Amino acid sequence: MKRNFFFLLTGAIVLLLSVNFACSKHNDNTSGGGGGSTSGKDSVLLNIGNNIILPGYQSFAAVTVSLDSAVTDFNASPNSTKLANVQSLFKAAYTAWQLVSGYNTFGPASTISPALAGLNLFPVNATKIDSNIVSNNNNVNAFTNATAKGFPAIDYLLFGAGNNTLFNYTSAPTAANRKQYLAAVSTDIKTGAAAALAGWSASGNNYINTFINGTGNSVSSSLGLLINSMVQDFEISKNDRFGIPLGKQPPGTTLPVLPNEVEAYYSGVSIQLALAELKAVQGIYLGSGVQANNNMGLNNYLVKANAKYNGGLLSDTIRVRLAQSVTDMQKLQDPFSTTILTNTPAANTVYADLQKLVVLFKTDMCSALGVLITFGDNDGD
Amino acid sequence: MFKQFINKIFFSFKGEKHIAPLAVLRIAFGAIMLISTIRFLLKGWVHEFYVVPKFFFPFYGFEWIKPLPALCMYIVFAAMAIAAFFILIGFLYRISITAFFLLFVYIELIDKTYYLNHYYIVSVISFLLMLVPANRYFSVDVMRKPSLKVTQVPSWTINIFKWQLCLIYFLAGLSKLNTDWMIEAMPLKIWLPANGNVPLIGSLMQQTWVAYAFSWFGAVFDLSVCFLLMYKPTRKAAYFLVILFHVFTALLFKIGMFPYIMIFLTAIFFPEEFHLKLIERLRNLFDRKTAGVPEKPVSIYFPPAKRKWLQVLLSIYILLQLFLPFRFLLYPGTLYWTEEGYRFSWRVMLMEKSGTTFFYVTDPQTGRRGEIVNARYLTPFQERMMETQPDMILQYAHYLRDVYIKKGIKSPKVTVESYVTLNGSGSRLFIDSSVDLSTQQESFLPKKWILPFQRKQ
Repeated sequence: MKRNFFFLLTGAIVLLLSVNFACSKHNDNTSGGGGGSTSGKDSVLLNIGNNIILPGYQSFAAVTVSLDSAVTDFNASPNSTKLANVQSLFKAAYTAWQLVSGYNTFGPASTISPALAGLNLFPVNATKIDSNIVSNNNNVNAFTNATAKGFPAIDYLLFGAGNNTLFNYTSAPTAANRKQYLAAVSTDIKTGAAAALAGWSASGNNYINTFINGTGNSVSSSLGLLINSMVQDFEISKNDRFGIPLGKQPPGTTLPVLPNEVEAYYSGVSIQLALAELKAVQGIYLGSGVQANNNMGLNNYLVKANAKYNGGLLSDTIRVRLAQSVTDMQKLQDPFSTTILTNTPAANTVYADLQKLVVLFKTDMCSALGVLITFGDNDGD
Repeated sequence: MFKQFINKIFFSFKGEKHIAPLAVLRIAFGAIMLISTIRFLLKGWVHEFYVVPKFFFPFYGFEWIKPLPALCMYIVFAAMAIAAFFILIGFLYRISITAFFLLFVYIELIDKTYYLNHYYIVSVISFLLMLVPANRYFSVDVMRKPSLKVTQVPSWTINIFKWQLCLIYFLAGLSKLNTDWMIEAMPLKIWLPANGNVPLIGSLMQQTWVAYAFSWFGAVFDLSVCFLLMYKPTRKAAYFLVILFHVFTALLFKIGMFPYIMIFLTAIFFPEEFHLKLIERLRNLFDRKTAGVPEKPVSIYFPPAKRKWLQVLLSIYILLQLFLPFRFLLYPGTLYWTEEGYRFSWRVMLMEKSGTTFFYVTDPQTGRRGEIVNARYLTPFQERMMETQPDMILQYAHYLRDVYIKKGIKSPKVTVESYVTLNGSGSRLFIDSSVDLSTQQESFLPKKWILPFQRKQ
């Protein structure tokens, strides 16, 4: 009797240990934050995956293809019409980027090489680009060219010389090299966008399926990955788009405000881009935007968890703060490099808005949903 | 009175017991430590926790403990795995268990970011295992030198482990007796619904009453399990509950090896016959020759001097174990909020706490103030743990002060704007934003710059 008991016990423990090891990757996929649906799938993940993320990558890939062919067309015979065309497609592509930059740290965007996040490291290193052009170095993915590629590079290449831009591509001695560099940067963006889309789409590596089925709230669940990525992107936005140009970073610099540190400094569409990014976050939160309009977003998890904030609902607090931030940001005019000087208080308001949102996302939302920010064991202390 | 208590441990326990439970404990501990050390290596945590970070959060008084270069850290873990294996087979036991204890404690002292109650249990058990003759039976040591073999040991060598486990469970239970846990069912009310998609029990996890049931069951279990384990008629049922309870927590929460460690350790409550049978089975597997051979009882001899210092050492140890969990009473404020006296107290799974902290460095010369991007200096894990623990906030503030002194700023001021939410309270200010942390000293005194916790805001 005792012997049987002992066997049973050892058996149970061995079984449990093996289950634990076998499932150390998968048992993270066991839970769901509260967007239940009849199909057993999480309807919030379904909506965010199918109607927001995937279409986001589709339009990003499509517009970068258009941009690249416009670059080819422009390079073949540069003129002012074609320049205007390529410039406007650049702005469209840069805006489309903002709708997918929130998913940079997980899934295909992080596993493809080079990682997609490298497409928007600003401020651009203009000197480096110039010297690359002179030496005809078009290897944009070289380590040393990290800030001489992607959207900031095209921003400089197409807008950096103001009225002289066309001259640079026609009569300037380096025109041929410059065309090649522009083409290399644009192709690199197109390739990255296509690779990310292929990774996500059902006809490619089908990450969308992984995403939709990755229920639960652990770090490796889709919710955990999405929230972590989104929060990180949001913090980068707060720090790089507004913090650094506003001189919020620690002392050491002499200027109170650093206008040339803004995103899209040359094309002057900084606020337009920042707004697109903020609205993308709002879309994920409300479950709207791109092709989604059924309102199944992160918001739903909070409603279901009945999370409170200062006596009210956390879900409402975040919704209101997001809307307020959009309103405040819309008060800023492009080009930001000018308004940051002429209307610094409004820019500071936006910065404060974003800070509040970081707290709400990172602290209140994560806590209410039990989402962990990190891997590693945790016994809750 | 304390002397009486100690005497009780040493003399009313004077009776001798068979050594089998101790040998089994040694084997179980060695095995689970071997597995968890390998698991730690395989998960890449040596690199992530001890190689990647630029800055570490040592414990107060142990600031001199520093991580070694990457290769040496791997060697430390490899040595720990080997030591665990030697403990398992009982080979060079004194050296192995001492090495294991020292290496393990060294690792734990490097950075409090990774502090877990289960690592504390491992430290404590390996400390106690250093003091007992767990290798004098069914071990390679005995095989090599048969004269080492004993069958009877003083009862305290086994009872001290029971006492330790009782303390752990009972205090874990005691700490659950508070409003958040019992009346609000927090934090289980947040954590359980997150398991909504688990097959079979998923929908249950969404129910509020389940959170209450789990909370109350957890508290009653922790408070009573040790008595049930000591009382013969309830022992088996209690051990079944131990397995059930820990398996449930393993499935629902990400707590690593903790449940298995507890399941293995609590087997010590079974009588010697149980352990003898277990050893007999193992003997059949590995050493058929000696299997079934009747043994004549041999008692271990503790020289009086050794007995004396063990008595002193264990007295100090027991006092410390009794004091640490209650030291929080010496501090004002809400324990979960200030976390003054929180660690080393067997408080497990009691808080859902999360924070965001903005650090500002001000140059007093120019008055210019800048916000720090924490990700530049800390790993996400460190950042997350730091943001809810005041002593870590202070350590990081001092680190930033030093970084900016190096950058040429004379006596930079470091202030924070810190928001924390505790058990669903909603985020609120945590630290007095006007206090210059660069001049605040770490000590065991209450930290006046922690704002009081207000549930309602």
